[in-house]
Amino acid sequence: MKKDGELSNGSDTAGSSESTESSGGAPLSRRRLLKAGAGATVVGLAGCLGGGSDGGSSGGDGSSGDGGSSGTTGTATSSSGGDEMADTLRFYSWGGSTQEALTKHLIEPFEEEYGVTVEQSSFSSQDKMLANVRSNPAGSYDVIMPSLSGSYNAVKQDLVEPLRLDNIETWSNLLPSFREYNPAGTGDDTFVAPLYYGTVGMVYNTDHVSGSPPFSWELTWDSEYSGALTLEGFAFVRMFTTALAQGMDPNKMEGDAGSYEEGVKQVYDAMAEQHELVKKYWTSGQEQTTLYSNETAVLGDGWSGRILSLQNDGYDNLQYTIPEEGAYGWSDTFAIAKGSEHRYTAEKFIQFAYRPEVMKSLSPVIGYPPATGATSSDIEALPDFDPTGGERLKFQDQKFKEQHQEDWNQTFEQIKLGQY
Amino acid sequence: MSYVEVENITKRFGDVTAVDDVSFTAEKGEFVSLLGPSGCGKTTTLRMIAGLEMPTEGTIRIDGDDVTDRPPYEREIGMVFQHYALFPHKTVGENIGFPLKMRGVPEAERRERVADVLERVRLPEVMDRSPEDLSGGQQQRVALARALVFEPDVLLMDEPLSALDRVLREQMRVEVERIQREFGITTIYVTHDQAEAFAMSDRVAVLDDGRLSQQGRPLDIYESPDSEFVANFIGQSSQLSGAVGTPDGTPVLETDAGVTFELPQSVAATTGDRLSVFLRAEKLDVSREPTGAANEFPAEIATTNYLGEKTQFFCRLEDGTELIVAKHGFTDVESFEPGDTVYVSVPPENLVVARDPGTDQQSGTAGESTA
Amino acid sequence: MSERHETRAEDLRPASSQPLRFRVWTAVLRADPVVRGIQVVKRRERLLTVLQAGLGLAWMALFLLAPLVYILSLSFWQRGAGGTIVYEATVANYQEILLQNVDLLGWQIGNTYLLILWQSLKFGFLTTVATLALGYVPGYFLGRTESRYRSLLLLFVVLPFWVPLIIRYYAWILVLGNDGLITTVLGWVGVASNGYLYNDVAVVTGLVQVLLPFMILPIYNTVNKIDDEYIESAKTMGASPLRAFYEVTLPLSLPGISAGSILVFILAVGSFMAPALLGGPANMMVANLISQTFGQAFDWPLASAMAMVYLVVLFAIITVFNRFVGLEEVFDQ
Repeated sequence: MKKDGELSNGSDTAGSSESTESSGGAPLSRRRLLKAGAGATVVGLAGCLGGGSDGGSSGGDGSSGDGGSSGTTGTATSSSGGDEMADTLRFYSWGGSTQEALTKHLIEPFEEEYGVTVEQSSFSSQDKMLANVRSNPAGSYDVIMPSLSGSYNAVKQDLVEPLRLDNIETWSNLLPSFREYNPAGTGDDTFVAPLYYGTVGMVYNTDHVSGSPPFSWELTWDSEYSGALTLEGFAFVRMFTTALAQGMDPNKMEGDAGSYEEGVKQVYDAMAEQHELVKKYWTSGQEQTTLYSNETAVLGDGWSGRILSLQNDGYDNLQYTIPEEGAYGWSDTFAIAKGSEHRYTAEKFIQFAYRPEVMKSLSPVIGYPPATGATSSDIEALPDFDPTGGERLKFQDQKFKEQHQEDWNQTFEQIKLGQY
Repeated sequence: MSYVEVENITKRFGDVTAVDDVSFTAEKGEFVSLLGPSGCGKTTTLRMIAGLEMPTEGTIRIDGDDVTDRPPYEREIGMVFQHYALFPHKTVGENIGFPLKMRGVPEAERRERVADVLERVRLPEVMDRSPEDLSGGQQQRVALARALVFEPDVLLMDEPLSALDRVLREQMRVEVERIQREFGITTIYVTHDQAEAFAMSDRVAVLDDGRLSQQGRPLDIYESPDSEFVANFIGQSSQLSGAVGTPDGTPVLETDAGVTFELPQSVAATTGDRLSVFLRAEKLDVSREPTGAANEFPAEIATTNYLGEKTQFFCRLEDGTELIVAKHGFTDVESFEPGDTVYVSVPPENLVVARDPGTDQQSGTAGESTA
Repeated sequence: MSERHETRAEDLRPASSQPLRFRVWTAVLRADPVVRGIQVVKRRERLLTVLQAGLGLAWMALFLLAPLVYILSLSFWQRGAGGTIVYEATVANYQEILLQNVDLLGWQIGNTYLLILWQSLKFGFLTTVATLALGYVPGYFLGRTESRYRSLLLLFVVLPFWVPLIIRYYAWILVLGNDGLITTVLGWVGVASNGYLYNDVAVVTGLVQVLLPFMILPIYNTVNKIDDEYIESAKTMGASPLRAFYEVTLPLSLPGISAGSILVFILAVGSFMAPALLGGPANMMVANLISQTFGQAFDWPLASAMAMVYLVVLFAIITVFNRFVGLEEVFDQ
C-alpha cells in the first residue's frame, strides 16, 4: 500500500503484496545481466509503463546486494569513510517502469563514467521500503528512494544520513522551492534530494465534461457526475484537496472562524457530501487506468503520468489539469540510508543525477518534470510541468499531517461507512 | 405358482455377463440360499431382486406381481447388507424406525413397533444408542430388525455373517434361522459358505460363473451333485479320473492314478468312457491292514491333521496323487506316522461319479448314487 | 526348492510339524544380537518420532507462534512520531478499538473498527452461504459419479488455483465493469448500464468465484466416502432418491459442509483484494483496515491490536460453531 499519492507511474496496486513474486531482486542485482541489457528486459516484464500488472514488480523488495559480490564490497568498505569512489553502490528504488527509466538514463551512464557497479533492488510501496531499511543490517543500502512524506518517517525513524551538500556540486541546480527541504524539522541538516515532482490533479473526460480549464475542484461536488466520480482513497490526500477546494490553507485548515476544529469540520462535511457521488476510491495507478479508460469514471483526480500514457494509447478524450485552487504536490527523492558504507559515492551519484543533460533524458521518460531547473521542450510538454519553477506546487506539511492523520483516517472511514 | 419367481434373468455390465440366464423360485416362508464362490453372480442376482440393479433380460415376480422394472423403494423388500449399512447419524431406534417413517407411520406407533421388533431379536434397551456403540453381533440384529420391522414380502440377506468372527457367526446362524422361522418370512440368502447355506436353508441354489449349477435341498446337493463344479465346491473331496474298462464283464473305472474302482450300479457306463470319481473325505475308510472291502487300495500317510472332532489324513498314492480322508471321533492319531502304509477303501455306492468335461456336453453328470 | 515346497505344505498340513520350526525361529529371534538390534531400531524409531514431532513443533513455533507473540507484544506499545514505536506498555490501542464511540446502552456503535469487522463477518457469511449453494451440487456430483472423467473434472475445480488471485479479480473487473462482458451483452438487448462493479454484490461474486473450490473439495471428499450401501439400504426401505438424499446423504455429508464452510468463512472474512479491487467506496474489510493502519498510518501497535481482536473474534466464532457441529469429527475424517 502506498504511503501517499507520490506513486510514480509504474509501481503499485493495492494487492501487490499478495500477488506472485515475479522477477525478484536477485536477477536485477547481477551486473552482468544489466550490462548485457537483459536487466532492463527483466524489469520490463515486472511492470510496464502505464498499464499491465503493476503488482508484479513487488518482487525485489528484499535486499539483494549481498550475495555473490559481497566480497568485493567488503574490501571497498575501507574507503567508506573517506572521500573516494567505491566500487559498488547499493540502490533501492521504486520498481516497474520507474526502475526501467532510472536504469537506462541514470544508472548505466553513471556506471560507465565512474566505473561503479550499481546493485539494484526495488520496492513497491513506501512502507515496505522503510520496513526493509529498518530491519536489514546497516550498510545494506546506500541510496534509497523515499517520497517526500516517506522521508519524514525515514528521518523520524532515524533511517537516513544527512546529505553533505558540499559533496554535491550540482546541488544549486535544484529548484529553490525544493532546496533545503527538511522534512523532520530538526536542525539544519538536509536529508533528501528531490528528483522529480508531480501532482494529484484533476482528470476529466471531454466526452462528458464540457468546458475548458481552468477548472475548479468544485466540479467534483457536482451531482451531475454522481456515480461517475473516482478519487484517491487516502485520507490525507482527500483532506488536502478538499481543504484546497474549500479555499483553505490545507496545512492549517482554519475555516472562516479561524480555528482548526471548525475548519476540519467544514472539510469533513464537504467530504461526506462528496462521498455520495463517488463510484470508487482508487488506491493504485492500475485502478485509475481501468476506471478512466472504460468510462466507469468520467471525472476525478489522478496522476498525470497515468493519463499521459492513456493518451498515448489513444484515449484522447482524457485530460489532466491542475485546477485553479492548486493540487496536492508530491516528489520522489533520493536519500542516503543510515550506515551506508558508500556515502561519498552516493553523494556523487546524486550530483550526477542533478546534471542538466541527465535530467533532460530521464525526466520525459519517467513522465514527470525534474526538481532541478533543467528544461527542454519535452519537459515543458509534461502535464505537471510548472513554469514558475515549483512556486505553484503545494506540499503537505508533514508535521501537521502527523499530528492529525489518525483523526482524518478515522473520520474518512466513518464517512465511507455512512457513519459520519 | 411360487411366491418369488426369478425367470431367466441375465445381467451384463458392458461386455461382462455377471448373471447368465438364471432361474429359481422360493415358496412363501421358504429359506433359499444362493451359494457360490466370489464373483459367481450371486450378489448381483440378489441386488436384482432388491431392485438395486435392473436385469438386462428376464423377469422377477413377487407374489404374482411383475416387479422387474420397479425401483427398490416400490418393492416391499427387507434387505440386510454385508456391512449392515446402519446409518451412523441415527440412533438404533431411528434406524429401525426408518422404513416405517418412509411409510408414514406416526412417531408413537413407530416407537412401539421398534421396541417390539427389538424384543423379538432379543436386543432390548439399545433403542437410543448409536449403532456404532454396538458389537458386531448386536449390529447384525439391529440390521435384521430394521429389515423386518415393516413386514416386507421378502427378506434378502447379502453375506450378513461374513464380518463376524467364527464363534459369533455360528451363534448368529442359529439366531437368524430362529428369527426367520418366527417371522415366517420368505428369505433369500447369499453366501459363499457352504456350512452356513446348508445349516439354514430349505433349499440351496449353487451358482458358478454367472450360471445356476444346481438347486435343491442341501442333502440332494451334497449327495448327488450334478456337476463337477458342485461336487468340487461342496464338501471336501478328492478327484480321480480314468477310463471305463470291463476286465470281468462289469464296468470298472481304471483311474490314471492306478487305482481301480468298482462303480455303483446306477451308473450307466460303457467301455472307453472318461469318468471322474469324487471321493468325499468322510466317506473314505482307512485302516492299517487290508480289510478286503470293496474299492480298497494302499496309500502312504503324508501327514495327519488332528482337528478335535475329526482327524484328517493326507494320503499319497503311488503316483503322488493326494487324497484326503476324514475320520470323526478318531483318537488313535498318534499311531499313524508320516510314511506309514495304510489301506483306504470306499463302498461303491458312496462314490460320486461325473463325466469328464468335454466328453459329454449335455449333462455333466453320470452319477445318481444312493439317495 | 525344498524350502518352498515345505512352506507350501505347511499351509495345508497339520500344525504338528510347526513346533520344531517355531522353536528354531523363536530361538533365533531371541538370540542376543538379534534382540539388541531390534531394540536399537525400536529406540531409533522413538527417536525418529520425537525428532519428527519436534521438527513440526519447532516449525509451528517459528512460523506461527513467534509472529503471533510479536504481534501481541506490539499491540501493547504506542505509536511515536513518524511511525516510530514507543515502548511504553498501554492498553489504549484496545480501548480505542473496542470502546471508542461505543454506547452499548443506546445500541449506538460508531466505532470504525467494529463496524468494519461486522461488515467483514457479514461478507464472510454471505460468501459462505453462496459458495455452499453453488458448491454442493458439483461436490456431490463429483463424489458420486463413476465417470472416468472424474479426475479431469476435479482438475477443473482446482485449475483456478494456478491463476494468481489478482488476475482472477481483474478478470471480474473485465466481466462486471463498464464496457465489460455483462454490460456489452445487455447492451445488445437494449439494457443500458454503467457496469456492476464496486458494490457488495461484486465483492461477494469475486469471493465466491475464488473460494468455491474450498467448498467443493471437502464436500466432494465426504460425499465420495459415503458408502453406497447406506443409500441403497435407504432405498430398499422405501426411500425415494430425493428422500434418501435428505435422510442419508445430506446428513452424512455434513462434515464436508462444515469443513468447507469454515474454510470459506475464514478466508472470506480475511480477504483483502476483493474489497479493494471490486468493492465500492463503503466496502472496506478488516484486512484492508489493518493493512492501511500498518502501511499508511504507520501505526503498528494499533494495527497489531486490531489483528489480535480480529483473531479472537474469529476464534470465538469457530468455537461456537464447533459446539454445534463438532469440528474434531470434521477433521477426524
